Amino acid sequence: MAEPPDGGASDPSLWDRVPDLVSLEISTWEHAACVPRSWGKADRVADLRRLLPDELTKPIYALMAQAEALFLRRTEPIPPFRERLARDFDARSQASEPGGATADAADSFTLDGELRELLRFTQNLGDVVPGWDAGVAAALGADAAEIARGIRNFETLGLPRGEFSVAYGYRLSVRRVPGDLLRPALATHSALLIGGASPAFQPGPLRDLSDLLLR
Amino acid sequence: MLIPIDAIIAGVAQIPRATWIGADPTNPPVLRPLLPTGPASAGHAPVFDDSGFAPPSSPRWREAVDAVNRRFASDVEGAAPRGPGGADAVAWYVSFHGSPDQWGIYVPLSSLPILDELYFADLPIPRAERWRLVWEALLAHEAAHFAVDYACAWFELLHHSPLRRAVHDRMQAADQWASALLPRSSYFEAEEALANGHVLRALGPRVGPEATDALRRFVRAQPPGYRDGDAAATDAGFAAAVTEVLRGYLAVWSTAWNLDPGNPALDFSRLLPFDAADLAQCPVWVLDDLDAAGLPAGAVRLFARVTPIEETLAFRKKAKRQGLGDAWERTKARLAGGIPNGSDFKKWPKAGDGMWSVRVTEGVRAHLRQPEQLSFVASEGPCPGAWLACDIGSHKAMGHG
Repeated sequence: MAEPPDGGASDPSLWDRVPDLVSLEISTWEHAACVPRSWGKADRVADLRRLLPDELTKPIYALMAQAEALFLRRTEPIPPFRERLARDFDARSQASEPGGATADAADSFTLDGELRELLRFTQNLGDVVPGWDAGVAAALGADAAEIARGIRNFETLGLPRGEFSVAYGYRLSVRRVPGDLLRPALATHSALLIGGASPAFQPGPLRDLSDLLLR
Repeated sequence: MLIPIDAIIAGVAQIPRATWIGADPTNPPVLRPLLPTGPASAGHAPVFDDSGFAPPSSPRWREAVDAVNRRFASDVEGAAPRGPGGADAVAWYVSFHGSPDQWGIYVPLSSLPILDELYFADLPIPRAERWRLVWEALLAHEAAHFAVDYACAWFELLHHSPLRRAVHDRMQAADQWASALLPRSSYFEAEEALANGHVLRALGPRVGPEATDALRRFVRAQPPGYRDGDAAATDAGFAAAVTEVLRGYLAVWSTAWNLDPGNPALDFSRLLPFDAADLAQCPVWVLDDLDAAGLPAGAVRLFARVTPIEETLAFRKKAKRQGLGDAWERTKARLAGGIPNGSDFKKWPKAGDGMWSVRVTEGVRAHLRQPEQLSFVASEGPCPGAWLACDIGSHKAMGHG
């Protein structure tokens, strides 16, 4: 059975730090054009609606799917939240924790960093997809102007062009809610994890009473 | 075969705060019986009798169908956004963590004709067979919740920690902490996808293509999570769904202790007890709520067991003469415990009103007359009458072709 903290002598961070909640924010200009008022956002890469043919955008969506898989692999679901629990510990969000993990350059390896490394969305669209401008023009045809107007709430410069970065039209980022801000919402869980050895939680009248009060 | 469930329940009870005081499991989320009768044990493979059923036209029936549909389906106008939805609005699993004495799967009788009317009425099979399909779909969904509950209990015994309770408490607190900052569902969507995936996996290979299509429509009509059952119907999809669900229960422990349940080399679906013998450990309860749906008493009946059985003198003589006495006694004993899948116990109107047929051995049938009065779950509690074995003989001689 898990032992309670020993006053911080051995590894206080295990007990004191609360992992961040993270979610993946996915949006594309294509989805914004297809689903009005969606702001281009979808819950999953598979849910993204497309305007352009797959042969044109395949490398971009493949990267997004890869990034989504990495996100799901590196995080744990924590029902009933839609967010997930980060397995890494962002030093910034834990630094204020009393007795929390100390920020260390070697520990700053985070999911966000991994995704940045994978996605390389600062590259130009024309470099990732050769012939981008011609491909877009051919796919959209006479509707191009209308579509450009339709995505103004997503990007004001209109249709993505070859010299724009991939991130202009295709975005995937981690939204992180620091764990210490979530203490009330996760309090039950922390109490269960940490307080398991307390006499109040052993079977008996005291536990029955607390069960009744906590119903 | 599982370790007896009682041992698991006793083990979980020793874990600090692993259990809770659950709500009354006999309280249906949608239709409330006017005269509650209490739950009756039904077993997993009952036989259905629709001889007392006439297509109802009363306003109360219509209201009941609409009320159930608003909870069951997500795209119906006025669909209820809160409370149990999807399959869990018409049947529900009560965890042994919350009700060690009343746990199990609960099915209100009205769910069978109502879901039949909504999703299965077009299937070209007798009504009683459609009810059986609905029953099996609901049982498969709820059995998946039992399997997850069981796997969680294993992890709890391993960690000596209240994994299930932690998720349960967060679910209960969800409304309290609801905010735009942390959007959340009132149920575990991945677990509902897993449960409906199990419905398609368990029933799909056994029923015909038309019934499979009807089951898919039944799954897709349900709220988010439930409707993703299709994706969990393949081997890979099911394994991924099981992993996601168990990761959800283990999440805080995994991050705290650096466990890695998401490792793709692990297949957690092996931890879920889905063998028939394993599932048989999960009690099944039926609630009589026919009056709440505007249906007359006895409109839906099911036989979980066939007992007591008495024999006519002619039957005894014939069985003895044909050397079938021992085989009949074995059949009789089996029917008293439940209706075995291979017994082909079915209504047999060719032999007269209230007559049923059962396979005794290969090529041998017996005919039985049902008791004058049957409770809604036959043979539950004191039986007002006995089944009467009237005839026995070869398949052909008994009029079975």
